[in-house]
Amino acid sequence: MQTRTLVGMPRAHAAILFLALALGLLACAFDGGSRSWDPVAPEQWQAERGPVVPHDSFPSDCALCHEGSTWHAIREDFAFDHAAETGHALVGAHEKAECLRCHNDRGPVEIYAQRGCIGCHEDVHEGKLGDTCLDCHSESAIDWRPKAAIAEHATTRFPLVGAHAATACWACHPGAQVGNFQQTTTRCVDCHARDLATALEPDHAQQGWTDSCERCHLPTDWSRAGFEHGFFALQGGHDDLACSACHVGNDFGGSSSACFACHADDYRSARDHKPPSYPTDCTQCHTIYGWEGARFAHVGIVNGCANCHADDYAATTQPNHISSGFGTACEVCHSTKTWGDGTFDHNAFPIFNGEHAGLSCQDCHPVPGSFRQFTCISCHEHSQREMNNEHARVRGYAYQSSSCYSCHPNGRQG
Amino acid sequence: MTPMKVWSCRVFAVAFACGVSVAAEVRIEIRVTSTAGNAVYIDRGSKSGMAAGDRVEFRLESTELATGVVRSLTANSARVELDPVSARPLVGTRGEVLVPDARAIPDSGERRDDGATPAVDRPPWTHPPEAWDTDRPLLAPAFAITPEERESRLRGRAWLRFDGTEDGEGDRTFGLAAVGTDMTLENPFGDGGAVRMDVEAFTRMGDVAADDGLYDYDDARMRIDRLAYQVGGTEDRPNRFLVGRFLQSGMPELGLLDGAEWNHRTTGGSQFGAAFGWMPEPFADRSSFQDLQASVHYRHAFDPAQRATVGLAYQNTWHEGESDRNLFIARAEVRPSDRLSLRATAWVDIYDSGDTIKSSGPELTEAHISGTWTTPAGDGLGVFALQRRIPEILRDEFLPRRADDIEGSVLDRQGVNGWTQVGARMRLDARLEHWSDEDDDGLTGEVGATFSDPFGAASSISGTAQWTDGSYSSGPGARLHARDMFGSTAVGLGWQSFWFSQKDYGGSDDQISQHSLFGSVDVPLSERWDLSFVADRSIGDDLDSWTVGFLLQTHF
Repeated sequence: MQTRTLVGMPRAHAAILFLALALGLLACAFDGGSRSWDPVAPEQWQAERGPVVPHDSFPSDCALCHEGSTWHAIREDFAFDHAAETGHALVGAHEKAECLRCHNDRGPVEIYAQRGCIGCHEDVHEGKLGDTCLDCHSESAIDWRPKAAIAEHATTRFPLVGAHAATACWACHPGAQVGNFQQTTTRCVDCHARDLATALEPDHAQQGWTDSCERCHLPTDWSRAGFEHGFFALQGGHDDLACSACHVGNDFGGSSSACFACHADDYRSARDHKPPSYPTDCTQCHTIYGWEGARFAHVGIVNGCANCHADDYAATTQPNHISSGFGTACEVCHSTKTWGDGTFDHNAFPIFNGEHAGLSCQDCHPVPGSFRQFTCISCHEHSQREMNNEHARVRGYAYQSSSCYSCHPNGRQG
Repeated sequence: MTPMKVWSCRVFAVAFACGVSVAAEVRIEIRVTSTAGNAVYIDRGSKSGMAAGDRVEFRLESTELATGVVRSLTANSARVELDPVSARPLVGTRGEVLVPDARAIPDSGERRDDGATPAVDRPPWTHPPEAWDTDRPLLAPAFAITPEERESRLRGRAWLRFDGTEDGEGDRTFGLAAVGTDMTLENPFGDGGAVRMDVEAFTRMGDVAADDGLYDYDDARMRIDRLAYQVGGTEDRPNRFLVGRFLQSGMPELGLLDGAEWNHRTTGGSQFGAAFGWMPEPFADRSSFQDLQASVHYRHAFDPAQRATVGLAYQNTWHEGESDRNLFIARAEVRPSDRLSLRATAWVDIYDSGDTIKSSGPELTEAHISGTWTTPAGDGLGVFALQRRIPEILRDEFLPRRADDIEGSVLDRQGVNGWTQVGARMRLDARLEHWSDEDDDGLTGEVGATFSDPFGAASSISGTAQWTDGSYSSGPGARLHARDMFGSTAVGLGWQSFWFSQKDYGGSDDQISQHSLFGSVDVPLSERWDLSFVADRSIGDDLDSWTVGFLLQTHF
């Protein structure tokens, strides 16, 4: 869309400028003196008009005001202290106004003056803005325009906040140019109906969001919609999503705040995520900021690891749990912190202290990957004959490791 | 010295002083010729030996005392400022001035050679004798010539103005350029009437880049606010006729009219009249001829000074031929004294079966009540209250409203403001207002102080703190404004800030601040040309705007 600047006025407006120029020239012509009346100071008057107001209330000494060879001349040094003489000070434009603007054929000016501004000035607001004109206007000759509009507007129901403070009056008050500020509502939608009609993402009208815009939007900018999404914080990527990404079909009623409600496909395609044993409460492992860096809390899980970690079980080679005949009760050896801290319960045959401490697994389990097989006699270089003699009276003795273990389960003599 | 001797000396001294005083003063008889505020004019001046400072004592018919001091004087008159506790003498009241014998001048016309300005040489009297009757004094004052006897004259003003706002944050631009004139041509047809014309041609543009042109303006129009001929309505012509486009003069609350109005003023100051015509819509282009109206009005004055008046008007309108509005307007104004003013206006619509939203019967659509009380010391107190409903009308007078708004919305506002003068150069102001509507209510207020002449004559500096509680936003604000004169050029500079909290908004950006620096320069280019500049720089949350404007106007 074309963006205009203050100086980029449409060409069609040249007519207005031409008119402005014409009026300006007209005013200059008047100011130049080519007219039938002479310019006079405010306290003077056109002599050719004769006495305009009755003088019966004036001082009897005519020389107070008049001088020269004709009564039509006002003394050059004539001055009238309106405040001192009447008790009513003339301020701003009134100080410069011709006396006859107020003291004229209408009758005693006191009658009009006592009514305030509207005694003499037309009430262009037609009585709808009260009689305290000076709340918005000053008496300055130049500055009869409203003053301190922003601050004064702040005393109403609708302070001009954000963008509204930089908006032309007539954008909200279509009658502002003719002094009509009436019946302008404070409801956002009454001025922003066109915004509402074009708000399709989401479709506000379809959702019934046709009122109370302030619940979602700031008065500074529509795009800074700040819907109170407290039941599900719009963070970690959710803040950039279109509403329809979660609220499919513009259905905003009863949307679940559970991750799985939207991320079921992610769950299914994720490795290991297999219901029903794997929880669908994503927040147990993931944060709202991303799938990566998941941390499964394992809170309350004391068994059944293989339900999720069967692949881990099968893939483990050091040692190979399958061939080693390890059970799938992972919790027997491992904690939920890490696989690396596996602690096999070898206490029945102590290998962490005593004579067998410090041995490698292969010293006793020579067949790689098989911890079911072990040998005692490969280390204990006993003479079979001597062992046979020594165990002659031992029933069931055989010169093989399993026999050694059956009688020496703790690896000690005796 | 014994006490008795002391008292003897005092009595002697007083007696001597009195004797000297009595012997040294001359009594001058005077008479009041006019009154003005707390001063009166008397018919003697320097030719009688009077001087500024002389005391004057008036002889009233009552027992009240009226005294004053001569403040200024000419040869044959003097202005006497009345003492604060003095009664007010009427025109014709006699009195006396005690003038020291050394200054007293006999009224025989013999003058002392005191260096006074010689009397002006009066020309021969050429004014034709006027009709005289026994009700007029022998020395008749000058009477005004009638409006129809005066030369035709054009007076008024013309202006060229521009206001533009550019908000960089929202990429929004608004501009308004206008040229206009408000002029009156007096007595163009020799019947004492006047043609009033108030027109303005303007071009507006509005561009909000982010809204895809939803609210863009780009138009140029000419608006006629007044174009009417008025005759009568002067003190000597109680009937006033208006035709053309004008604001109804009998009761401005009836609105602008394309038509005719007749108004009659009685000798007691009461007025009544009627008007008929079309009502232009109150929007920028003043389109008309859709709403026809007929109205009558009466305003009763209870006294010649019109210190108490009541008025009543009735207006019936038709929108594009269909009956629309039955409206009564009542107004009362009471000013029991110069210090107290009370005013009330009410608009009452009468609904009938043709109205689908409002119930049949009368309903108060709008009411204003206000009062102002001031003291001689410059202090004052004002109160006001208003109630406003949305009328059910066909006329295009405001933005479209929902039916439930028309049916039930009501706005109430009440307020009180006061001001007091603290010393000669400081004034304190305070204002408190409460509003309520069908949804919410709030309290706003402000306190401020203005110091006069801090930088020199005609300068001022003011500071105000305020609290705003609006429908959606609330929070504190403050502003400072200074104004000074550099020759005949007035320069103003101000700053204001607001810190708003947004209601009903649960996000994290619910605090909104905005700050403005603004200034103005008013330059009288000549006796007839004025130029005024204004500028405003505002920044804040999603706000980064410049506003500039100027007004060039000439008076003729």
